[in-house]
Amino acid sequence: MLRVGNLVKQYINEAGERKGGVSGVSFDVKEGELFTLLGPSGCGKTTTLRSIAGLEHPDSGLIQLDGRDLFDSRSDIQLPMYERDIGMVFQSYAIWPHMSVFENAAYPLRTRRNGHLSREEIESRVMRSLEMVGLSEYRNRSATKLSGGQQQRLALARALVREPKLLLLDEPLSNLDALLREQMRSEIKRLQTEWGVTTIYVTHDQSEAMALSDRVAVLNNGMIAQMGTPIDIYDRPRCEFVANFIGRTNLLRGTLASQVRAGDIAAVHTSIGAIRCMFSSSMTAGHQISFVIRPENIELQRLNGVASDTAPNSVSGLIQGKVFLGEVAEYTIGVDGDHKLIARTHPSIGLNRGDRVRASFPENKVIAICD
Amino acid sequence: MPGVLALLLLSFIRAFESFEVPAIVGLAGNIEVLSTSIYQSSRATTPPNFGQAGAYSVCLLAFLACLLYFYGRLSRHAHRYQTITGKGYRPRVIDLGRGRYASMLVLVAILLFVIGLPLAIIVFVSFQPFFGSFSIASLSRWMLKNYATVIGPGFFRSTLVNTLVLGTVTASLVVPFTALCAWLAVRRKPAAWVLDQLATAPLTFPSIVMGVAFLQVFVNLPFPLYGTLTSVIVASAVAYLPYGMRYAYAGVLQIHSDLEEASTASGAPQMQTFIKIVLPLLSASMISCWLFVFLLAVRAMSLPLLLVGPGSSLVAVSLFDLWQNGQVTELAAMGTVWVALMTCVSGCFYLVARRYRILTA
Ligand SMILES: Nc1ncnc2c1ncn2[C@@H]1O[C@H](COP(=O)(O)OP(=O)(O)OP(=O)(O)O)[C@@H](O)[C@H]1O
Ligand SMILES: [Mg+2]
Repeated sequence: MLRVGNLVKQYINEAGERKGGVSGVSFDVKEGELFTLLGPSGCGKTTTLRSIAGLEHPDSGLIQLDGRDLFDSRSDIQLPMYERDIGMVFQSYAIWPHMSVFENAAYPLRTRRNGHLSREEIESRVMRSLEMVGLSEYRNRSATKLSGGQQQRLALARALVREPKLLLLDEPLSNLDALLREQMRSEIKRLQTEWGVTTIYVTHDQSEAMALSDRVAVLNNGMIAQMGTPIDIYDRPRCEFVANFIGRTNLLRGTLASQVRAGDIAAVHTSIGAIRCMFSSSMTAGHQISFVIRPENIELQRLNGVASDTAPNSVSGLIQGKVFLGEVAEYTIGVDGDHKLIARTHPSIGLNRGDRVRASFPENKVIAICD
Repeated sequence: MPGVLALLLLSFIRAFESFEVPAIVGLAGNIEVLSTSIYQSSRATTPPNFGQAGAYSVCLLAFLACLLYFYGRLSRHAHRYQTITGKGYRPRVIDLGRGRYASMLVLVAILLFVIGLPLAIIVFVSFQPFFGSFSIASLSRWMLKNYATVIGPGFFRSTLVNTLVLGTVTASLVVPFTALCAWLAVRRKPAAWVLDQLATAPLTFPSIVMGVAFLQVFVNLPFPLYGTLTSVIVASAVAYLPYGMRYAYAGVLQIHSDLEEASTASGAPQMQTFIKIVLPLLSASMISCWLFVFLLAVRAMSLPLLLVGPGSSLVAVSLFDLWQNGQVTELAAMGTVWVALMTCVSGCFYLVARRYRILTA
């Protein structure tokens, strides 16, 4: 459906260096899919989105929508945005203050160049999209008299009214408060599935990306660090950056003592003791390995007296901090003095600061990353 | 902020190149400033000494060019100051509380003193057969003859009409043109900086210098433009381009570029975006700009002074002539009518602005 191939767009900063933007991004988005570009601030998400929309002129690369070239640096094609059949929702909503709600939503239909629409048709299509976002009773209201959430909905209705081939959403929820954000998140998901429109969603919020997306591309420094389904990315991060960026993580480092083959279970010595896990690829001895352990995969047990055995994937430590987060409690455990592990459990476990605990993690929940 | 600084700069330049006050107050006391010297050497002496006028003009120009350079630096990082965005755009009324009455009182007092007093004297004089000081006896000499002269058909009436035409046409030419130029310039469209520079250039020309320049051009044209109202309109439109430009520029700066990109994303080509989105959002600035240029054009004296001919007399110029001829009472009557008319124009604009709930930019 949408193909982005080796897209490069770099900005020249004040010192004249090429900096920022994106340097070689490639991905495919399938029909009807909700594809998310996720990454920290400044990693090039907006740049990618604006290049697809045609608001930015990329340095090189290829952008194809439905088999049609939108941009191709080799044959020098750059389709202007108004011919791209793409709907876009801006981070600032960009609702026109001089128009009513209805006029805002009708604008894309009025500017349609191929095939003039009759009054009735415009009316019915606008009302359909306003109903979809629950704004039909506000149709005559001035657009400035809408709340933040309503403006957001209107921006969505306006982007969808033309039934574009592709919908681009640039951090559409970042200006809303927590409650509204959650509400709009499910709303967007519902709208997207109902209209079946192929969507690219940009966000820096990993929980948003996890909740919404069919597939996610994690961007770092203008490049794609990893691409896959949310579960894939969460469970099998391919680099430390992705592991750290998606969810809370314990990262432990060690050196491989002997060669392993794919599928082997081996132990590696780390700063908190031996860690056993399954390796998904073969590696030679001497490799630097990072282990990712998600806090919710660490099991805590109260220890009475001194720990005796030193089994792999199990350490004893002292609880140094406790944060109550509602449905879970997050504990910081000091191991061997200055090493720390983060664990999350149900608050009913009733551990407190100063308690001695055993922290253990099953070997199939440890992810080995080699850089 | 750039809006305020731009205004500050404009006020300074206007004070520097001002001609009217030095001409009326200063010439009597033999105090000459650059602008009056230019007038003296090109009009008041016979034969006109255009060379000397040109030399004075160049001096003025050089200084003002420096000021403009600073303006350019100031507005370079313009996009940082965008204030109208698509969200939370709501005009607010600020409640000053009890301080409101006190500040109102002070303001009214100042206004009364600065504007009211001179105005009262003008109105008084306009009902007198000759210019004299205020006395009980003078009250018995009330008459309307001056007004009959001014309003009745003939020279004065055509002067009024000419001036209104001048103001309206000039403002209506300047406003749409500068709106387009400012938009192109702010959005950094290719080669738009050339437009911006061209439209700003007349700012460096004090209007009296502008007058000299246009005088030369019109005199040398193959078709008879010199002395016509059209010539004054053309010169005024060019002279006030920068002012329109500054208003429009400040206006466009306030429009967040997302609002335009949202229009492009809706399938609208550039020109349609300009007409349907930019112009309406600019309307507040454009209305105040229109009024500003209108008022500038109709009250300007130094520019038309050098250009008007017998068939194209203008109020400001006629007032100046009346003053030089010592016809103070007619001057007062004409001034009164003029002030009344201009107050009406401003009032109408205020109402229009209120109606559309636009706060002047
Ligand atoms: N117009 C520009 N001129 C120069 N540099 C720019 C410009 N726009 C973006 N950049 C740089 O390019 C990089 C990527 O910017 P981009 O806007 O794509 O980030 P982003 O991922 O959308 O970040 P955020 O989550 O904060 O919106 C940033 O480092 C930014 O400084
Ligand atoms: Mg961004």
